[in-house]
Amino acid sequence: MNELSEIQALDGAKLRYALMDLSKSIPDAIALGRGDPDMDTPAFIVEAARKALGEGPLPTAPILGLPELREAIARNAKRDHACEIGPENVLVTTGGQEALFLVMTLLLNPGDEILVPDPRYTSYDQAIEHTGATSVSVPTFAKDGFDLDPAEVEKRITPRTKALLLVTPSNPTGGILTPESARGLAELARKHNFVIVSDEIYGKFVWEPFKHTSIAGEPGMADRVITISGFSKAYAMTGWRVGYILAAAEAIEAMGRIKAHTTGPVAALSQRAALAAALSDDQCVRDFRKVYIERRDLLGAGLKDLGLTYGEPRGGFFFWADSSSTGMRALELSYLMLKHARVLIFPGTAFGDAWNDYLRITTLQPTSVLAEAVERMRPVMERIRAERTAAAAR
Amino acid sequence: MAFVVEFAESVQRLSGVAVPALADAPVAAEWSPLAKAVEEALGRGETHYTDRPGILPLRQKVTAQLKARFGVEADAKAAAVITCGVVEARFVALQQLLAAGDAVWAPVSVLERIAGAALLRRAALAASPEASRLVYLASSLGEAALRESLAKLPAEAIVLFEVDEAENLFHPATVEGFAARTVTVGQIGYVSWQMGYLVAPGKLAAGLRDFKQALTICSTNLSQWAALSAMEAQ
Repeated sequence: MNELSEIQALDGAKLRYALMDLSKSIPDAIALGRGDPDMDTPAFIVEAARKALGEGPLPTAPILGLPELREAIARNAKRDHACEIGPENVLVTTGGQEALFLVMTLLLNPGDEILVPDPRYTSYDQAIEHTGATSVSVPTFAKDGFDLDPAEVEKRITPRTKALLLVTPSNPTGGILTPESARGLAELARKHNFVIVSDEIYGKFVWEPFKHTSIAGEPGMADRVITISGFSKAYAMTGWRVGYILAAAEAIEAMGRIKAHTTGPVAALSQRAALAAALSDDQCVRDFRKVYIERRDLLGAGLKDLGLTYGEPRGGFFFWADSSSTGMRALELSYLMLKHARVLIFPGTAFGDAWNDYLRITTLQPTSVLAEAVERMRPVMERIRAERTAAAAR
Repeated sequence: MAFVVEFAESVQRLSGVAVPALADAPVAAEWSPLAKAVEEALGRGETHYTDRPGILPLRQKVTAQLKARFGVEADAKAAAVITCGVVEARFVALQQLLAAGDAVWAPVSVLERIAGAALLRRAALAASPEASRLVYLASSLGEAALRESLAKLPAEAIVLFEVDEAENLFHPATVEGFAARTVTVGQIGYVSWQMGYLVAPGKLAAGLRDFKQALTICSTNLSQWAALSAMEAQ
């Protein structure tokens, strides 16, 4: 089996990691794959960590998280997630990934169903599969900006529906939850008695004229919404592994009991650093936003120049580009881009089986590197299109 | 007001299960060189994801230590995964190596370390090792008790072996027929670093690495550098 065939046999996270592993063997490959902000953690957060280091070995934090961090997250919840809560409604987790695992474990029994958007980051599927529950995909469409349509959700509700997963902004599409959809989905949740899990890890990066909408802000949803977020994306803190869950106190206590058996308390130094971020005025986030907008505009223009089409991302770090005009399946196209252009991008099939004509491309490189990536991809794209034209002429 | 839906059955049952005690692993070094190693890592911008199995020098230290202490050989690149403490190492092993309904056994004295994770896997706690798919053992049980347990295991049973605080130099993987079915886990340094490891034979390693990635992506970057510094000082 050749290299491409081996990769073609993979999907989801395994496919993404196989491509990342392959890129390591390619000198000076430009990574436009993983959702890891390239910028360093802001200096004031690093300084807080340095200060904590000076205190000697830090004591182990409580399983639910440092009390002062939980308080700070709770205070910010109205600003960031449209809910007024207390520290008893906060659980600090080992990144957003553990958070979603804890939530799925809390809610789902074998045989339950959870509605999930398609396409999606496939780690949700792994967490769901582990519970023995079933993911029921709800399609999203380019015509809607890949926003989740309540009518599409309603069609798929059954007596076994235990929860709906929202991801806003969406990874990979950049679609968002609109206020209208939030109202509609909240109504469905109340009517059919299911929980809404709202992953808002990219919530600080919604692009104007759109605004971040948290479904927890809808009336009567306090005990029906579980919100997942974290510090990784907003504060360029992926390596610190600090996320959080907001939920009813009873659910937080239960997830704390689960967490005692999954990873134990989050690293104390990481929590101290996260505390500095949570207590800040978020100027660093506003600064990051300016950088990401500049990158988005540059890369977007470059992709258009390459003949790729996409809906303007309403949030997040990604372009979800339609590559059907190349006539080549996304995985093969990604492979060629890696091997011949030395640019790592992810095929749509890493985010759902049906997405053969889409690519996920991140903006998480400096503008000069993004420009270089576009220039590297240009001759490969031109060759692919020329071959397609020649084949059509034969 | 109660939450709007019932929690999963396994979670409801978890309230009756003891939380495993957390214990630091011995740290031979003074604090200042460890803090300096973390400071240097911060200076290098080590604030991003690491490779999902962890930084290679730390994985190499872990496997080198297993060889030095127990005479157990393992390939750091293929076999070792740095985890978020021994808690995650145990959890990943139990979730990945067991199927729902499988039987798992541990001596009563260490059962609380894995009882919750086994319950969350919907595995059955067995009364004896004879019919178990997996048994959990720890170095602190002592060589005689470990050998006695190993002698009772079915031919295909997996051994999850924790190197805990004891200085026992016996490792199940050194017993004939057990090397390919023994997974080793352990804590590194202070619990507050949330740092541990998992070392598995070839046929089991990839699945464990994948499950760890699905659970937490990778372990805390700076803690890995602190752990490396501590292990280098040993």
